Amino acid sequence: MTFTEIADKHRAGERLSYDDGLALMLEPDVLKLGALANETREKLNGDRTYFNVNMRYEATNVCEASCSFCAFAKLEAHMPGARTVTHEEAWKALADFPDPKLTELHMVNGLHPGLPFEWYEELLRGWKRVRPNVHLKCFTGVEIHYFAEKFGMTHKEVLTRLKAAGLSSMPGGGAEIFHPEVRTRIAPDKATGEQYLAAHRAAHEIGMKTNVTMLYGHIETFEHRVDHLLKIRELQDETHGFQCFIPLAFHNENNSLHKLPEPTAIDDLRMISVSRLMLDNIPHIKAYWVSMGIDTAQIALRFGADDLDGTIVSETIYHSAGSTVPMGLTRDQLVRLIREAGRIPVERDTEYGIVEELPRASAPEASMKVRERNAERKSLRVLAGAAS
Amino acid sequence: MAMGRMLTGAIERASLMDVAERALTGKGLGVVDLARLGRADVLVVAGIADAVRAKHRGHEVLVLTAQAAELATDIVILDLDGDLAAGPTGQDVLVQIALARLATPCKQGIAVSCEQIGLELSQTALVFGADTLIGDFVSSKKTLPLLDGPQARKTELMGLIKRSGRTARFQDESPAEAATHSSAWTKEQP
Repeated sequence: MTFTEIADKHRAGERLSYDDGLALMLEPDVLKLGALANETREKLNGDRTYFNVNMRYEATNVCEASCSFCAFAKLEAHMPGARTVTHEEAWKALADFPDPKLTELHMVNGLHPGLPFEWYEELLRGWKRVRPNVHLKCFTGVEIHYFAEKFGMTHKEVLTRLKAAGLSSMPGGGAEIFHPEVRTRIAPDKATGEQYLAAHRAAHEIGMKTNVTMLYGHIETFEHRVDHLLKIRELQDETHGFQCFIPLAFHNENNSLHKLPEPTAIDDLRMISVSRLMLDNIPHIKAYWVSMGIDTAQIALRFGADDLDGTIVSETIYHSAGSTVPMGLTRDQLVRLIREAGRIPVERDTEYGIVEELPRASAPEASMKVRERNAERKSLRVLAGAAS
Repeated sequence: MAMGRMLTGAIERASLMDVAERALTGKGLGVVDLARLGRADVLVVAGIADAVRAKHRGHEVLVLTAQAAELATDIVILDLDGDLAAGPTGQDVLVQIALARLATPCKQGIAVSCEQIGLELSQTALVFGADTLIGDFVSSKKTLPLLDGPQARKTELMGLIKRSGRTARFQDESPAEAATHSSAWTKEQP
């Protein structure tokens, strides 16, 4: 099928197939792809572009799993750089968080073999005592599956107990690539794709919303990516519990895949666009600025994305793998990025409730502002002055 | 016209068909047309700039050192972090590149400095009208890593350009040598 035929099919509201997804992945004209995805994004969300005031937290980087892309985990607690916080440290971090507008704590951990389940329950209960209004979005599907196996519970039992302790939703990390051809090579000793999805299904069944991700740009093929998207779409048809899909770009520092090149900005934009077009039942596509860089994340708001994630404040998983973006962005910086993309900034809570919708930029038009560096050629500089 | 149905439709909806037609002559647009484009959707502006670039400058991306770029007479080097209030955002930079392509007669290429805007934006600039990259590519990890060693860096840069659907030509290469690089987008898997 040609791009035009796929575009017509999509505009007619017909669901795109595996072959369509593959054709979109292979489409050479990324502007065309972006324009189609942008149509869908605007149909679903208009100019609204979401962000939140959140903090990232990692309570432990000790992890039994040996994922080849990971630069964050330490296999054992006594290894250099291994760290597990105390409850008091974790509670203080939230209590001391300076922004009174904080709405979300987002926690992802290693799979620590030595911590009892009650340790996690008490961690959540303490946070709720400190700041009861902050939404706790904690534990990936991989962590939930690990708890279920280690402590002899079902996914639903794990989640029900954590919910009782204060858990409100789950982040999307740990999805990597579901297909076993890839997963058994990059993440051989943690939850399979099916087990990850089963944990999310269980969350949805007890009324808990979750996000979902894909780690792309390493050893997987386009076929694996499309297969991953379709598995997400299938579960969403069943449960409607996913709020947001977040494509995560592979980073290559300090891990055993360091000889692989990272995905480029164009690859990132392509991934955002194809995700928007294939995941017709997922309300939001996030351009996670920590993963793809601030500039590309902003441009992605024209290629299908409608969410930039949040202030983050202190992220270590991507930074361990070579991310050079700042550790956090301020609320004002996020608002400016969105406004200058010609969109409407909307501060949201974790479940996409609107905290505040801000006005769009008053004068969104671009004008020629570039300077020509070549001193002997004046024409462009004259134009710049006249058009501004 | 070197524009697909989707872009043509978007240009028509924006009532910019006359501007696009003038742009495709490659003579460079005037201030009135540029002002109209400044109010248009980003992807429409990018699409017109990309179509103009493809028609008049082809698919080759010239890679120059800063020293060679200063001596070149057939490129316009853009200074993209100048006096914009509070610093330009990524989208702002890309729109400026597209408008520069549309303002400049096509006998001149549009060059951006990778050191100035980073490899990430430089690559994206290639679909917003740019056709020349300037940089020494020695230690330029701003957001994308370059492997160690000159040949490895060259290989990685060629890959970066190829992933944008274009073919690299380094300053010390003839067009014939550049043609030996795998040309443009080849449906290669990541």
